[in-house]
Amino acid sequence: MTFVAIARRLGGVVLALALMGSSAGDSHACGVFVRNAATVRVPSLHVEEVLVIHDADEQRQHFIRRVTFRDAAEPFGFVIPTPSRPEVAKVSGDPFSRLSTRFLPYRPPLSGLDAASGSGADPAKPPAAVQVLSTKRVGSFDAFVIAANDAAAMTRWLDERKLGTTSSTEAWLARYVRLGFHFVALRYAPPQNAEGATTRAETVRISFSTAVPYYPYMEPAGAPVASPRSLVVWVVGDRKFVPVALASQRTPARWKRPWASRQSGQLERDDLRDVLGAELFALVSNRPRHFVEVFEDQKTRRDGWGDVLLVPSAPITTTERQRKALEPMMPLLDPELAKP
Amino acid sequence: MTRARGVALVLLLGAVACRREAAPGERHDGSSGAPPPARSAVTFDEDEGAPLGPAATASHEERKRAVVALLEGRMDVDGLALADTDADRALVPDQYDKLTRAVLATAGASPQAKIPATISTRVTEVADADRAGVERRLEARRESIERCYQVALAEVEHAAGTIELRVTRSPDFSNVSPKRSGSIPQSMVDCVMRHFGAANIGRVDKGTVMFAVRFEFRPK
Repeated sequence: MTFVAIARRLGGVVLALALMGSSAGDSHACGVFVRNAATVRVPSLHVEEVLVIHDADEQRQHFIRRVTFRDAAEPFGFVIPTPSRPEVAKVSGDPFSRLSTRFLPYRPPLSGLDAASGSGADPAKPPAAVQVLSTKRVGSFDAFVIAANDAAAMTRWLDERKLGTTSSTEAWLARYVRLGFHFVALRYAPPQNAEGATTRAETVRISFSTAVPYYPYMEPAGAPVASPRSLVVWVVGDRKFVPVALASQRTPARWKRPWASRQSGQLERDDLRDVLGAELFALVSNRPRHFVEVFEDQKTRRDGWGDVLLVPSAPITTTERQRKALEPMMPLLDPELAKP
Repeated sequence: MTRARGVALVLLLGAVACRREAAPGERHDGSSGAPPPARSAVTFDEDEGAPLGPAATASHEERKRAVVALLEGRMDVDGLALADTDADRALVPDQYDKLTRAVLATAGASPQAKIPATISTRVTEVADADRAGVERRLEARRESIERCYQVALAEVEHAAGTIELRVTRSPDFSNVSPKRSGSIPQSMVDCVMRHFGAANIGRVDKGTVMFAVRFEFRPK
């Protein structure tokens, strides 16, 4: 997955950008930054829930993630890399409860909270190497869709907006800049009386084009251990998939399956509509049946793990054009392929 | 099919430890028209035959073809190592349940247990193979087979029956023939095959080894 959380113990999030003042910057490996970590209680996210809907025909992915956080008295944020220009939207309702009821014994501890949606976030003027393609209010977050061709410029842009970065954050960003990825930066500003606030959950959809389902899983180097930690990923697609990532903890790097498969099955459209709800069901392809798979991960840290690609579990036939579309994703499985 | 043509096909498929089954509507040779990656582009597990990762010595084009094969499902991805506690601080099977129960305690819900089931395994034939080695490989796949059965039980209530696999392997030929009985769904056979593909039964330098194994599945 590609969430970069900006707050300190935001488990499972890739890179967190804290909005704290430039003087602050208590940064942590997970990309979480808070102004004064000793006195501030930062978001905690030990249970992550993600729904990936992939339409192979349209080569379109919808990445739906429930962001759960508590004690969010400090501003924080996430940066999520995507292989193509994303669209960001709030998801109403609570698809994860229905998904977990249907497919897993697991029930998340929170119900989604309705949050006001709107627009009007400050459209920052970026340096030339960083383009803010859109800004939008998504629930409690300001969502910035960003294209960058210079990691240093991207880092400056984040810093200028009080989204603290560190050397590991910059290196993390640089990798995606080199690959030509886009970014979604979600910035949360707590309400004034948020100290000791109750736990909140909001669901955000990020949609983008990709030939192969993608999960931004990599974290900045040295992210803190979050234990216990659980990631549950539901995948709805036209076929079955196997999650694969490049594991570089040792040399040489190896392809591995980073997540355990919990369940898989097929659903008719009517069943799928019941589970997803009308809003998300509108995103699935028109095929009469869809595979639904559930994967799970309890890694407390992700050092050395690259992003996850969901590869077909059985051979597929591709056209030359489709094969060409795979190329931007290839360096995720073999970094040598990023070299000319 | 002549032996030469048969060997050529096997070499083609074996180059990337191809799968043996294809989804409906997909080509059964597992190819997409793309040239298969050279075997030298990928490193394989010496013992299990599963792909490990890109080979450092491969050319750029070879590496690219290897990754395309992976992204097109033409590699034995189920043979890829699963992150585990010892190697990667990764998956602890019970941890999910423990964590889930903790979460559920908060949420006031109750977890659903695995469906109680019995799986018995018997090696019925061995020819020119080490029985202990065969049994060791079977044991290594026990957990995967159990998962296949749990999925089958979710799909077909009270699914029960047997799956028999007959495995033959020589340096240039591999084959696994499955046979099912009872109410075991084909999807479960496919699942077992994925975890028991010929590419995963170990390397044979010369001669031919064969063994047959019978799994019996029944819910408790």
